[in-house]
Amino acid sequence: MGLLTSPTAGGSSKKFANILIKWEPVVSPLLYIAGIIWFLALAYHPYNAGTYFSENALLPGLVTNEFSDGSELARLLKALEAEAADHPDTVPHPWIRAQFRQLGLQVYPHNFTLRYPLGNGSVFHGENTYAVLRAPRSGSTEALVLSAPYRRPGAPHPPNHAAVAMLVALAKYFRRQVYWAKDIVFLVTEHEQLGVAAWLSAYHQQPVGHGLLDAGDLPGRAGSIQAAINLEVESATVSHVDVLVEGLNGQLPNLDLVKMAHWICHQEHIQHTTQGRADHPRPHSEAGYRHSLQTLLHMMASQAAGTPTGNHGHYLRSVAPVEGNHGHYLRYGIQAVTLRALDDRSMPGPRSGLSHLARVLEGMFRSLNNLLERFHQSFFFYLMPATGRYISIGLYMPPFALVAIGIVLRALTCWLRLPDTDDSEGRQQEAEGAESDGKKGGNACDRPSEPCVLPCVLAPHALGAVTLAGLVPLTQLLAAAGWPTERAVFAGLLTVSVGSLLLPAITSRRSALSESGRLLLRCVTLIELGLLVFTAALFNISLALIVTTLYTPVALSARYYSSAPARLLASLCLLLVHPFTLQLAAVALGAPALAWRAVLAADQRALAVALVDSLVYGARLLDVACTVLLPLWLQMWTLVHCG
Amino acid sequence: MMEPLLLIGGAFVRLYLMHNDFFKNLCDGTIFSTPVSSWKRVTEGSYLMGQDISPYEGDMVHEPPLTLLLYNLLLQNFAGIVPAFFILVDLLTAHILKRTADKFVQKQEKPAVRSGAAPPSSPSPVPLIVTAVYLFNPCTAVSCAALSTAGLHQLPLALVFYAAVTERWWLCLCSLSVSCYLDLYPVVLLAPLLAAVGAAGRSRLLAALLAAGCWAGLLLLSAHALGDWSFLRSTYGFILWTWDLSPNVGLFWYFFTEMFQHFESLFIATFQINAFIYAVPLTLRFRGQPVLVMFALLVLMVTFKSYPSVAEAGLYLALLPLWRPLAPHARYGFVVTCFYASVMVLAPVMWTLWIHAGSANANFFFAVTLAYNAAQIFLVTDLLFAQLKRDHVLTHGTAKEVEGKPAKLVLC
Repeated sequence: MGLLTSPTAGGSSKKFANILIKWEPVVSPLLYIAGIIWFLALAYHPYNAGTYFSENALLPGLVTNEFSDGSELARLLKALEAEAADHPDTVPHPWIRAQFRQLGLQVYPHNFTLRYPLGNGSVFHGENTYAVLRAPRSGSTEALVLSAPYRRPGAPHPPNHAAVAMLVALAKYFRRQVYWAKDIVFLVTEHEQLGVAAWLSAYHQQPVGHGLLDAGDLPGRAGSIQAAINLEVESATVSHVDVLVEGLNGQLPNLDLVKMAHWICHQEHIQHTTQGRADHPRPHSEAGYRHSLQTLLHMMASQAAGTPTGNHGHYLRSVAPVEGNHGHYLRYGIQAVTLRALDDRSMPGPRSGLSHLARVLEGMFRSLNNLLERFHQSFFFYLMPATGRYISIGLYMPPFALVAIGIVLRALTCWLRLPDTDDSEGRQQEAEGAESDGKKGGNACDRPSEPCVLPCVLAPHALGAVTLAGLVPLTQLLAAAGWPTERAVFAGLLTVSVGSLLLPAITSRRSALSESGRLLLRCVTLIELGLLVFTAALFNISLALIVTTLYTPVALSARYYSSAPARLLASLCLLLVHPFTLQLAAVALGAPALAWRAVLAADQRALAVALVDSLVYGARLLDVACTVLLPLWLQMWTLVHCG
Repeated sequence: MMEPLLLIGGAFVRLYLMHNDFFKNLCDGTIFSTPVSSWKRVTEGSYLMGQDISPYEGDMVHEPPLTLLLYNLLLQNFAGIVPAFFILVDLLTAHILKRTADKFVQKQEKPAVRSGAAPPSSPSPVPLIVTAVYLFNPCTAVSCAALSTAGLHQLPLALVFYAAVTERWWLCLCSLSVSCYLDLYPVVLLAPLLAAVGAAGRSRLLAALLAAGCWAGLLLLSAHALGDWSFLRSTYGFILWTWDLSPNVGLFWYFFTEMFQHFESLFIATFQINAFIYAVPLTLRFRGQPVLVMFALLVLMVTFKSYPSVAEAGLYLALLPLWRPLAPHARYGFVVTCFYASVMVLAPVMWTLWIHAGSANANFFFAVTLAYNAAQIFLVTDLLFAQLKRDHVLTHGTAKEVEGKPAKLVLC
């Protein structure tokens, strides 16, 4: 290491900084637009890739599927429906267990309890049934799961008796085969996601839900679970099978599994869809492009929600909400999809029977049975514009980076524009008193004094954290006053959102921000926003892209404008992307035909559900919105309003 | 007045983290506790001792015997106060760092006050910033909550800095030998310390003998307590030969999982030498600033040691505000800050994606650790170069012109 005094070096780096400062305001918006166009172009057939089998051990569809006992299936369905009609208030566990036991399977009950944390607090009990078919060819070291939620008559979801009957019929058929190398667990759950979450928690002895969900222990176990299929069958005739992939917090199953599900449906000549949408016959045409773009956007909407319900796209089609119970398997590194068999009148094409569907499942399990190791090849990060096409992380990251890069570039120019990074004044003063080491200490005021910026950063974050922590006690408090939970959550968040608009007035009264202080605050805010979106892109690209698309323009323009109309416009734009507004907009988009009163009610419900998801299942959307996004928004608000 | 508040705040943060599920899960990761600093392994060692089995027989325990005995004593008699013990150690370290900063800033200001150049202004905020950074740095706070024994290792290291700044050479050398006894790597700090001892007019030989004697005494005491020397293999041998390649924030694990067996010893030696080799050259180059050299060596040690944990980064990050006068000369402040910020967020994220969700792989996490280590190197080179520039400016003034053109000092 040495010193070199180079006549040219100094000039060039400074020149670079000046070029950056000069051109960044032009380049950033251009890159932003280019990124969005590039991303939208990815839905076009030639610009994405066809799904393929990376895991050769799967050997999908190399055997002839032989299940043919359609009459047995029909008999079981009829018996179960009769049983359900007899016991409308309970799950017919005795009947289900008796069926499995007759087949010689090991049958176990599983009880769980949820202490509902909100409002007055109540306790829910639930019961699952599971049966284990021990593999004749190995020692119970690995397992596959076939699960189906049981739905009581009168539940908000369509009944799922056919799926439960299918489980029993398949168990009977599988029982007679000799080729199983993995245990197969047949799981019938209660209370939708809660049952699956509790069963998995008990299976892995891994507590979830902050002690609210008491999952207990399981009397019997199979091996380590390699893959799981969750089954929902709405009717005895099937027009198409929808493959649901989006899991908790936007996690996705391995693309090999998804490909396998589509491939075997294709082989068995059952129409298969993704996001409830079949492929366009002419994907190269303009209409074909628009079709796959819509499919892609549907997938992004449901992935961005971060809940395994995958219901966003389906709200758009105004069909009943869907529960994607597979979403909870993904948390444990178990690859899983939900197969949802529907009879949709609007879907053209022939109808299939249940035994047809059973052959699909047989094919999938025989293929999974071939697995030699866990799913690890192929992709875990992708988006699907059609059933057989995918956009991998390598394809969607560059356009995403273009959309988001403006945030980073602007942060950099803000830093470069700070008075002191330029090496003039500080050193000059220092050189004056040649030996005065201590003078630097007094010089500190030259730098944008951090202490002034600190409250503007810390106060919003503290507010966000307090908001998140205070929601549960608030519902309990207001429940005593007779408020329903949903309204309490809504009122709490609304109060914080509106009240926090006054934050800049409070912080700026305490300490006025200088010009350089504002620049520093901008820089810090932009860096934090950049960190947030790039980190979110790793977990949930859809959410990250939506947030980035909405926030980049406002983040780039968030500064103090001296003219009042410009300031008003900036404030208005900011209010439009307030997390609370976005939530309301998402709900309203999901239900376009509803009146505002109904939208408000739906929004209240959605917020309460988001809180429960966060507390019980560990969905992080609300947490991140409260502790990172809201504070960031407030920092931008401060920037616009601190003169 | 502010300091007690900060200390209480730090204690509360640690208590909160210890009782939060989210962070408990986070702490299981090896980001915060390595094989040499894992509390789980200490409890195992304590159990083995209770069963009259030598804890060093297996490949489980790598804690030095004397601290293991201390933890054993705690676990046997006062198991309930173990968390409080760790919090107290952290608070003590923070307090020592504040005293260090107090003295350091005082020394910095003295010549200025003497020459009348700067009026005695209000007390410098640096010591409080140092304390706050140590107490509220997520690295140290979460490590403490994870009961990583690396927290205890920082105490003698902080003492070394304190004693070096206050020129209490006895204390300095003794705490250095304690630190070496715990971790081996701090031995690099001996070079700048001996230079400082020499500069203060004391005998270097005596100082070296004192440090070596103290260290040997600790080893003898350990051997006496255990009855044999088997612990050397499990502690120093384990550190030097790097047998455990479970992932951490360092550079070893990824490289050596890929390494063919017969090249291993060569490359282990090559990697280890990095932690030690810079001691003498840096000491020679920065003769007048032993504390700066110690700081740089500390960063290099954390970068190149075999089982680094972020708790160790907490110590040098806390001391960073001491070099505030160098800030105007530093070039990469922005880059390094952004690196640290992104690494702090991305490391747990990549870990979760790899280990818990199973959707990412080792490369994701390794990329982050690589960025982290690059940031540390950037930090130390930038700091040292800023010092050189500052020296240059102080002697030659700011006018930088070569052949009549404006020029800039660059690193080469």
